[in-house]
Amino acid sequence: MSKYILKRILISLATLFVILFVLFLMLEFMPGSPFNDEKLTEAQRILLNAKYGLDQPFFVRFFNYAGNMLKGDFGVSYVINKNFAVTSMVVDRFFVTIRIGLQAMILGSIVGLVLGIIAAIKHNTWVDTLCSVISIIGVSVPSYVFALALAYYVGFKMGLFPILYNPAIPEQSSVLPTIALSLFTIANVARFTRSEMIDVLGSDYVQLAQSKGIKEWKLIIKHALRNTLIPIITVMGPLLVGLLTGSMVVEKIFGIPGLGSLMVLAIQNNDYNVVIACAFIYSALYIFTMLIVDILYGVIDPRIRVAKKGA
Amino acid sequence: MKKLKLLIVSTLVFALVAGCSSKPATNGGTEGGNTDGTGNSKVVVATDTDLSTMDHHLATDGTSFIAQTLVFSGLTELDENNMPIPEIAESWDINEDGTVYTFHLADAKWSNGTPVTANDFVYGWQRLIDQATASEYAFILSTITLKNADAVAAGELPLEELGVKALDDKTLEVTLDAPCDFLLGLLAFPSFFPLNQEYYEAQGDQYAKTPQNMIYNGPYLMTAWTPGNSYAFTKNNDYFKADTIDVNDIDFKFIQDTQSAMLEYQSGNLDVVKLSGEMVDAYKDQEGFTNRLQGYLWYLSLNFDIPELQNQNLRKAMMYAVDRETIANNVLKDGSVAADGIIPIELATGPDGKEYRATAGKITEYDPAKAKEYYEKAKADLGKDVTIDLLFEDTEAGKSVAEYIQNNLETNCPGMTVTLNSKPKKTRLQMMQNGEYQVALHRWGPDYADPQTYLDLFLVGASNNYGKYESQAYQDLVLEATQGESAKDSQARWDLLVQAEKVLVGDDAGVIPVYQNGGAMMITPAVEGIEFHSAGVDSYRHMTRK
Amino acid sequence: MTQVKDIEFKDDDFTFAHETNEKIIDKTYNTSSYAKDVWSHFIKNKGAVIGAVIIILIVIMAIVGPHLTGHTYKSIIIEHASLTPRIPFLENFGLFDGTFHGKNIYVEKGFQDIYYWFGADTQGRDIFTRVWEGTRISLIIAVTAVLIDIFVGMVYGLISGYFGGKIDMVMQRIAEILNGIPTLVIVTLLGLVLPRGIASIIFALMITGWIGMSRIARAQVLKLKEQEFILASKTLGAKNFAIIFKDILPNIFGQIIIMSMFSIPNAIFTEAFLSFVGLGVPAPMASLGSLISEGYKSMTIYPHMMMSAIIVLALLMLSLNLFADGLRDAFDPKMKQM
Repeated sequence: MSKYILKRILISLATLFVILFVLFLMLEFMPGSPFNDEKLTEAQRILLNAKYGLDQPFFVRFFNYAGNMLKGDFGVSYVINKNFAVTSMVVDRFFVTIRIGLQAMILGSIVGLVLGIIAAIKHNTWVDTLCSVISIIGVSVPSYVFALALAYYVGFKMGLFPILYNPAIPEQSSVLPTIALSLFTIANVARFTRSEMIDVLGSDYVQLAQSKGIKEWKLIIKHALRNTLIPIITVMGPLLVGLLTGSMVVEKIFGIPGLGSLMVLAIQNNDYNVVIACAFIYSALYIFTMLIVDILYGVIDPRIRVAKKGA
Repeated sequence: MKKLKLLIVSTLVFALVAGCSSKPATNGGTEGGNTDGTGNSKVVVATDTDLSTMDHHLATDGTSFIAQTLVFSGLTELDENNMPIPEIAESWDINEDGTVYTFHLADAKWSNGTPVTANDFVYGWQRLIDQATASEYAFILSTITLKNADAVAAGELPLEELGVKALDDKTLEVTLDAPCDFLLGLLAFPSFFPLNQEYYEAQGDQYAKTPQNMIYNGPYLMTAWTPGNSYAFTKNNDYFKADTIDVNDIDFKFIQDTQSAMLEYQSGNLDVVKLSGEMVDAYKDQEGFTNRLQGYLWYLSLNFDIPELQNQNLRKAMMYAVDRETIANNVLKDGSVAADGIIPIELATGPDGKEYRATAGKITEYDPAKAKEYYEKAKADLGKDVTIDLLFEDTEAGKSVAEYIQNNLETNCPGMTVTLNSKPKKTRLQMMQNGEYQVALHRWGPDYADPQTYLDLFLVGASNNYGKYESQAYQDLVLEATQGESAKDSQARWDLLVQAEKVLVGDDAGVIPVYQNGGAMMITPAVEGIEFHSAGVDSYRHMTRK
Repeated sequence: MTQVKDIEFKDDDFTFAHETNEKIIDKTYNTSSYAKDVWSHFIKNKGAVIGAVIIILIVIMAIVGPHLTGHTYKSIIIEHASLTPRIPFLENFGLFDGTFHGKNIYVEKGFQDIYYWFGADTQGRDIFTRVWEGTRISLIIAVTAVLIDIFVGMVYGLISGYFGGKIDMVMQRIAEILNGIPTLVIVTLLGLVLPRGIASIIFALMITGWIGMSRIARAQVLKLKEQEFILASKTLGAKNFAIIFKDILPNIFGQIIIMSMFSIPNAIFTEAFLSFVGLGVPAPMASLGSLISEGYKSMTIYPHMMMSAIIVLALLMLSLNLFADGLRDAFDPKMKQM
């Protein structure tokens, strides 16, 4: 097992390095430059590029950057917050994004589980159809539409929650973005739970338990849910990352100082170091969750452990 | 399975806690701008671009400049009519040929108690042009023809040789190479603001990164700054004209989405909001709707390296085919106005006291019949239908205008094909600089209040002449007006500039002006006195709240 | 362990499995082909059939829809800007009669004889035409991207799985690393680097999309290659590539089709995201995503501009999902959610 984990970690690190290289390469081909304004003269542009070391050869810049990054230095922002250390810009926003992402994750999985279970128990009835329709809508309507609708009806018309994120009252002001983000998770978890649950309910051991006369709710919670949860853990990793990237859109609408909106802004402004830092953190998060899910899965389900050893 | 149980339980607990703490907010209002009993008032402004920097030598964007004009004061400031009035400089003398300005400074203080001296200005200007600063606005010292500015900028002369000297603590001498009519107005621009050397050097690279790493000499102090979210100002009681300031607190909130900003405005949590496109339609009849005109003029820059565009008939056909009135009034709807020429309105006033455009008149014209006629001629000349690629910026306004121009050209010049090519601003500029474009929707904002700031763009060899427009007649007119005998005679110069514009836009169709852009806003009726400057930085300094 | 001897059995503990005591008669089944089997399974699934019908309707509309009104997707009549939907006949019942905030803007502006079934956008373009044009573009993008995914993924997965060993190791590591880059990040960056256009969007979508396909292909090959019929082919002297493409490929086709049916909605959605961050199809072209993000900008004022595109998108996603579910059950009833 530990050998397997070690191997996975090594692969993850290699992946991160390759990603950094790919990011650099992409920015190299990206047209435009952070210093470009209709008023800038050629001499000024050269001066600015020299000041920030953008005139150096590609590999020199790449290895400098990679080296500094190991020390936790992501360079400085050229446009968004001029000359600010990207690391400090990113750290604050990272926690805001993570907070809302996690909240949405928790809300989404609980509601999704409940919906999925209800749909499975009432399999092939109108309740099931209703739950399915809800989950389909959840995956087929873009989250920004939901977000604005929430802001309009719940935030503005009903005045229940603040529309804009306010760092002073993060609890209240993160309610609407959390709900807007969680719809995608709700839909996915509900769909997945439903199909898993139907399978489990049809399995021999559940039927055995049923024939032993165990009460229905106890049966579901004690026997069926457990075995439904294992496969669901596998979809959590990708879902969490989906949430984080989904935040790119939702953050803009609710004025949240998060990583997603920062990255979109940085891309639009050619703020190279910020783009690299954000994209890199996203990738690292993604790889990290995949790693955790993989390991967790191996721990929970011995069959997989054996299979992985064999492979 | 124990672990799993633990997981579920802890998840539930977490969710409950999260649920409890997310009680509905006590309905808005408390935060929004309103007057409390003590007469302290607050105004909350929405900004759609984040504050980039408080270092006034590094700033390049309107949002940062607005924030800097709140907390710093320059030698002059602009009044509501765009005219310079004394600020830190209480008075000034100008020598006979208009090349030496002597400013007498008022008794102003920095917020740490040190007085604002002439040396702060000298140091500020030196830092602006210093290659180590690499300020994107260093060029502005050459614009005013400050003595030795070019040589210092190029690193050929030391900073001390720059034409700005402190005669004593309260007297500043500025020496120019040539007279500059717009100097006093330009001094209200943040790039010319002072910087206290001692404080700045003590802060090192932390200067202006947080409100605690700055000292202020303007009407407001910065009190909070959360990048990506908000920043706030409060009245500076040590400001030397503190009694003229009405509003106590000004908060800025960074909201990218105009619709959520408008919802906040309607909830009473915001006082000043920008409107975009369709929202103008919905709110234009409401109290508080404000239209302002900006100095930017948007035009179609034509690349003369493209053989088709060297054909004058084609250029004229395009000139006649563009329906500017509709673009301004029906497509943009935000207070933009159709461009009558390449010089915007309300930019400059001639020696005769008449506004430039009133003298120059309307040069552009929308006439589908003529467009068709010229296009037929062009087609005969070129022997084929024309396909043109239109480069534009991927903003909402840019897209709508480009799509409408495409429609105009394809409808009014039957047979012409226009492809659209949208790029982020910086990419668009780079493509234009490299000459990798055919027609581009481009803009220019005035550096100073004179037609020359636009006409210089189309001279042979000008770095901004991206399309490589070349006309002997035009060149002669402009050079005679700016460097020839006529330069000394204001009226003769003015007449030449008017003629030059006619050659460029009317006769040659060397550039196709489209619109001068405006901005629509909602401002809470209780808030008054926000000054919008079409050539300069908007000022919230003299705002009042009823 | 409960002691068996402690338990007493009573009569009513047991009931007959078949109360009627009917005889179990073996049914004789007609031999039916695999395709026929799939078809009969599929046709029984109501949801899947409905989904298929909706998909067919949407595809038909995507082909003929843009030509029904006499407008083109880019023709602008600026005077008609922001008109709300107005449909002949239905307007007599007060539905879609062109009212906006209680006033009939058609009557107000003097357009008595003009009908925009889905309304007009802020530039005065017919939304009906644009929605179907957009559906067509979205479908073209998604289907092409998925087809390329299938091709690349299958070839990659088949080769990797069939040859195994070192080749498999290297190919899997490459796939793993590519898979480590979050799709949206890479798609966004590619959208910036590549010239704006449909081809670039397709390329951006497929750059990570094929990995899922290759996984399935590889897993299937690993399973199949040890089976007897492959061994038989080998002993008969078949070449490697012949085995891969003649023997293995047909066996994994069902799975690949199902996977691709799930990928199409994904591709449509990713395209919509790209449109929102401003990297979608070039103006004035329309896609469902670009229509929604355009309409979004006036959502609080003219909700109709976005509604029709959202409804079509939701219907398309719903029916594709239903169809894919049905297909999966039909192909392989044992297979679960992927």
